[in-house]
Amino acid sequence: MPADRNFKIVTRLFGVQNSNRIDVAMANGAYKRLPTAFAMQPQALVDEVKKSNLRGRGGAGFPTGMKWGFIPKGADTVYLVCNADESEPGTCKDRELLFWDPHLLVEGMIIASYALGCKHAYIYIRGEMIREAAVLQKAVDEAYAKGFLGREQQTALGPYKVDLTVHRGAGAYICGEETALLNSLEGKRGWPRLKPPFPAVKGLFGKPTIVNNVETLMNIPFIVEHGGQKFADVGVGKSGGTRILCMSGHLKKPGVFELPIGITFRQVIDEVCGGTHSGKRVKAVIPGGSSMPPLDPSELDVPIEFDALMNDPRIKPVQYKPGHNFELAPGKPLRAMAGSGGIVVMDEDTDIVAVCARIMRFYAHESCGQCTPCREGTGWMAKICTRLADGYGQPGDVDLLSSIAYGIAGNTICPLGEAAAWPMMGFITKFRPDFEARLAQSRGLPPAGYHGAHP
Amino acid sequence: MAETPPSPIKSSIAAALRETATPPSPPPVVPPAAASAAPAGSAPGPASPPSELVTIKLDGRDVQAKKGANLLEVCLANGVDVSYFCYHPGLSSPAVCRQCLVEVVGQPKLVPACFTPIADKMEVNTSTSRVLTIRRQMLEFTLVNHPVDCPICDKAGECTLQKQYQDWDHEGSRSSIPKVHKPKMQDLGPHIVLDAERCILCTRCIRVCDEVAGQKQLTMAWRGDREQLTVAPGHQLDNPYSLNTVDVCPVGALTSKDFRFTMRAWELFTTPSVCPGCSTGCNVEVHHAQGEIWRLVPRENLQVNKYWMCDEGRFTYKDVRHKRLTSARIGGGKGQPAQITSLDKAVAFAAERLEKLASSGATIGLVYSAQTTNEALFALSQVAQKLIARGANIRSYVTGTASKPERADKILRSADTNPNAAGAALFAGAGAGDAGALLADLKAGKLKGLWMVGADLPLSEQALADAAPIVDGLDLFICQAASDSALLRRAHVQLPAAVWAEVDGSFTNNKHLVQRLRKAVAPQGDARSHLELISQIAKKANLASGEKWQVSARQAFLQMVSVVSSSLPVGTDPAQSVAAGFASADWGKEFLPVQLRFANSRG
Ligand SMILES: Cc1cc2nc3c(=O)[nH]c(=O)nc-3n(C[C@H](O)[C@H](O)[C@H](O)COP(=O)(O)O)c2cc1C
Ligand code: SF4
Ligand code: SF4
Ligand code: SF4
Repeated sequence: MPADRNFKIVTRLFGVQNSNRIDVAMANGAYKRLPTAFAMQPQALVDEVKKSNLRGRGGAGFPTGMKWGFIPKGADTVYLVCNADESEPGTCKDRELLFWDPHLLVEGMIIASYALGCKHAYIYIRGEMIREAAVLQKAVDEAYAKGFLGREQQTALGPYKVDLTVHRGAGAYICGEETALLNSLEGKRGWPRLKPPFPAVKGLFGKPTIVNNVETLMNIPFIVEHGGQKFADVGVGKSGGTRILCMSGHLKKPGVFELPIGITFRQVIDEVCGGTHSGKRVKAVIPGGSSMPPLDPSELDVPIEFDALMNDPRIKPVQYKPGHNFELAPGKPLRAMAGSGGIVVMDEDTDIVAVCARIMRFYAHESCGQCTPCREGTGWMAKICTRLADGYGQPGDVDLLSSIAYGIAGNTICPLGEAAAWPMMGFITKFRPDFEARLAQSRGLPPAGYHGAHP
Repeated sequence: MAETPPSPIKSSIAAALRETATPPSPPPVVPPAAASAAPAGSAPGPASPPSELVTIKLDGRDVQAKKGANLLEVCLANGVDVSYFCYHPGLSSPAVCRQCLVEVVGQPKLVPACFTPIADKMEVNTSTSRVLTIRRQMLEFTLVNHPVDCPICDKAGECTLQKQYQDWDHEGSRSSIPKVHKPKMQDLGPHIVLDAERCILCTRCIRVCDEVAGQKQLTMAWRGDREQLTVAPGHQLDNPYSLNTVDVCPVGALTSKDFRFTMRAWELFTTPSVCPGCSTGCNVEVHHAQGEIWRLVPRENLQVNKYWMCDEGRFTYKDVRHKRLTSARIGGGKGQPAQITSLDKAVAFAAERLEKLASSGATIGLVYSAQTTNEALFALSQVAQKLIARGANIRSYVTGTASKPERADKILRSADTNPNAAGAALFAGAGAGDAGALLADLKAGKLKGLWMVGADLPLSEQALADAAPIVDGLDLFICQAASDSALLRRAHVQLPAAVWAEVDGSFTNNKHLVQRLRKAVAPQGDARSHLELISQIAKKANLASGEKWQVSARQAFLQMVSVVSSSLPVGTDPAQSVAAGFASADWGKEFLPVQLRFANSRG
C-alpha cells in the first residue's frame, strides 16, 4: 500500500539545522541501526534487502538485493563503491541528500559493507560538488573519530572493521557509468568496460565490486530497522520504498521531494509543484533525467514507477521512423523509463527543437569517445539538431536524425549511446510537427564560419 | 542506403605469404551422439575436455569450432567475411569500432563478433538486412569526421578503411556538417608521425605498445568526436617495437618517417623473406620496386615472430643499398692498392693460387660467417673436404658481428646479431675456432692461406683497421664481402658478395628453424651470392666435380638437408637438435614478386 505523501525515509533531516553534524545526526537516530545489523548474519541482511524490493536509484532500477547476491561466494576481497557522480541533466537529489544527511549514507555503507564482506568502501563524488565533498569528508572524519569507521566492531561473524574513502571525480558525466567510474577510481581513463564480466564478478582492482547509488544505500538503515517487508509494503508492486523526484523546469514550486512510489506525473506537477509558473499548459515532460524519452501531455497519468513507465500502454512507443517502433527486444517497444528521478516540465511556450539540441550537445560533449557509434553519432546529431534549431535545417534532417539515433541505440559499449539516441527518437516521435515546422522555416545553409554545436 | 550485400574480397596476400603458420586444422570427427549429448547452454561439466568442440549455425550452415573460440575468428576461418577495424589477431579485443556486429539469435542486441565466445548451438547471422544496415551505419560513423584525403595519404592503396568503403557501398555522404579538425602532423617519436584527423581511434596502436612492447606510451586524450591519440607530455613513442603501430594502423594516421612519401603502396612488390638483424629470424616481407628495397614489414609466423618485428630489424634494408662492394679486385696484399678486375679473372686467380697452396700441404683457414646462408656454408664445408683430400691442412673458424647483450629482451630481440649463428656452427664443425682464435692464429703465423666467406668480425671499424695488418703474412687471402673494409683491402682476392635480400637460401635461427630467404632484388654491380662465388672458385680449382651444390641454391639446400639429417642424430624437437630443424626444413614455394596493387589492405 503506497505511503502517504509525508512519509519520509531518506529526507527526514532536510531543513534541520546542522543536520550534517554527527551530534545532530545521532540525536536523530544515525548509527542506531548498526548493532541490529551487526547482530545479523550477512546473508540474512542480503535476504532482507531482497525482500524489500529496493531497486537501484542510479537510473536502471536494478533490484539491489539481487545485485548483492551476484558476489561470488567465498570471495576474499570485495569492494563497495557508492556512486555519487550525479550528473544526469535534471537530476539533483544525491547532492541534496549528501548535504543534509551524509551520516545516513555512511551508516548505510557500513551496513552494506558488512553484508557484502567489504573491508574498504569508496564514495566516488562528482568533482564539481565541492561543498558536498567537504561536508561528506567531514562526516566521514567524524565517523572515524567516533569509531564507526576504521575500528573493530563486534558482529555475528566476530570482529569486523571497515574503512571508507571519499574520492572526487574530475568532472566527467561518463564517470557515473559504473565501470567507467571504477576505471577512474583506479586512476585510469574513464572509459566504460566491456561486459561481461560485470563488476560484481570483476570490478575495482579486478575484485568483486558492488556499485550503488547514494539514494539506494541511504535506504539500507530503514530496511534494517523496520525489515524488508515493511519497505516493500511502502512501495508498489516490485518497487519498494519511496522515490525522490527532482522537479525542475517551468514549475511554480520546483524542488527535491520524497514521494510515494506510484504517484502520477500529473499529481506531482499539479498537487506538489503547484502547476506551471506561467499557468500555461504542459507541453512535454522529461520523466527521469534527460536520457529518457520525453512524455507528451496525454501520457501524464501514468504512475512514476519503474515497471509502469516501461510497460504502460498509455505511453506511446518510441519510433525510429514513422510507423516503426524501436524495440528493446522482439515485441518489447521502448516507451519510457523512470531513470534517475529527474523530472523536467516544459510549458507550451517551450522550443522543443532547441531543448532537444541542447540535450544532444550535452551527450556529444560527454561521450567518452571510446566506441564509434556514440563518439561520432552524438556529435553528428548535436550538429544537425543545433543547425535545425538555429534555423539552418536541411531537407531530410529530421529523418536523418532518427536514422542516426537508430544506428547508435543498442550498438554501443555502454548506455550513454542510448542516453542520447532514445530522447532523440522520442522527441521526434512525439513532437515531429515541431521539427517539421522548424525545417519549413529554414533559412538555408548556415553562413560560412557557423559552428553551432562546437563545444 | 540500398541494402545490397557487400562483395567480400577474400584474396589476401598476407595469407599467401604465410609459410609455417599452422593451417586451420580440419574439424575432427566427433561421433554425432557425443556432439548432441550436451544440452544447449549447459555449463561445462566436470567431464567435458578443455578444448571441447561445439557446433554453431553460421548463416544457416553448421560449423564446428572450439567452445569459447572468438566468434569473429570462427567466421573468418569459415570464409564468412565480417568487416572489422579494431580487432587484431595478435592483440586483445576492445570491441570499440563496432564494425563486426552480428546477430546471435535470442540476444536482443547485436553483438561484436570479436568479443563473443562461441557456445554450442549458437545461431549466428552475419548478413541479415538488419545486420547489414547497422554495419553499414557503423562504417558511415567511422567516416563522418574522416578527412578522406586519400590522394595525399601514404596508406592509400593498402588502407582498410578504403577497402571497407569499396566493399560496402561506394555511396555518397549523407553528412553536410563541418568535420572536426585535428592536428595533421604530430611528431610522436623518432620514427613515427601522426595525422590525428585520419585516426579512427581503434586503439590498435595503443595495444601494440601495451601488449607487445610492454611499454605504455600511447593513450587517448579528449572526449567524444574530439578524441585524439597522443603521447603523455614529455614522452615519446620510442619503444624498440614502435613501428608495428604503423603496420597495424588500419588507416594512414600513423606513418613511418622512413617510408612516408617515398613510394605509393601499389607501386611496390612484395617478396617473403627473413630479417637478417639477429638470430631470432623474424619473418618479413621485403617491399621493393625498381630494384630497390623501400621497407620491410613483418610477416605472420606464429612460431617465430607472430605478427611483429623490431624497429632495428626494419632498417636492415639500408645496408643493402649502401656502402656496397660492387666489383672484384685483385691485389698484392699488405695494403697495397688493388686493381679492379672482372669477376672471372678474380675467380681464376683465386682458384689457381688455392690449388697450389693446397697441394703444397699448407695450412688454410676457412671462415664461416654467421651472416651468410646455410647453403654457402654447406658448400664451404664440402670444399673443405676436397682441400683436405688434396693435402691441405684446414682450420675452420666461425665469425660474425659482435653480440649486443643490451638489445636482448623477452619479446623478439636477441643479443646475437647474426642471423645464422646456428648454421655457421654446424657447418664449421665441432673443432672450429672463433674470431679470437682466428686473430691469434694469424698473429702466430699458423696460417698460410685464408678464405673468408663473409668478412664479418666482432670488431669496431677502428679496431678492425688496427688489426688488419696481421693478415699481411699470408700467402693467399681470399675475401668474399658485401662491403668495403680495412680487412678486405688487404686481401689478394676481393670478391663482391650479394646480401640476404639478393639471394635465395636459408638461415637457421636460434630455435633451429631453417627459414627461407628469397631473392627480392638483383645483387648490386658484379656481386654474386657467397654460394655462387664458392662454386665458381671450386669449379675452377677442380674441387666441385659432380657436386649438386654448385648447380643452384635449391640443389645446395636439398643436398644439405639430406647430408645433415643423415650425418647427425635427428631427434624431433628443433629446439633440442639442429638436425631436427634441418630435417623439417622446406624449400617452400617459389614466389614471383607480388605487386601490392592487389593487396586490398594491410593493417
Ligand atoms: C552514462 C551513465 C551515467 C550514469 N551516471 C550515474 C550517476 O551519476 N549516478 C548514479 O548513481 N548512477 C549513474 N549511472 C548508473 C550506474 O551505471 C549504475 O547503474 C548505478 O550506479 C548502480 O547503482 P544502483 O543500482 O544503486 O542504481 C549512470 C549510467 C550511465 C550509463
Ligand atoms: S557509448 Fe559512448 S560513452 Fe559509452 S563507451 Fe561508447 S563512446 Fe563511451
Ligand atoms: S593511429 Fe591508427 S592504430 Fe592508432 S588508434 Fe588511430 S587508427 Fe587506430
Ligand atoms: S628481433 Fe631480430 S630478427 Fe626480429 S626484426 Fe628485430 S633484428 Fe630482425
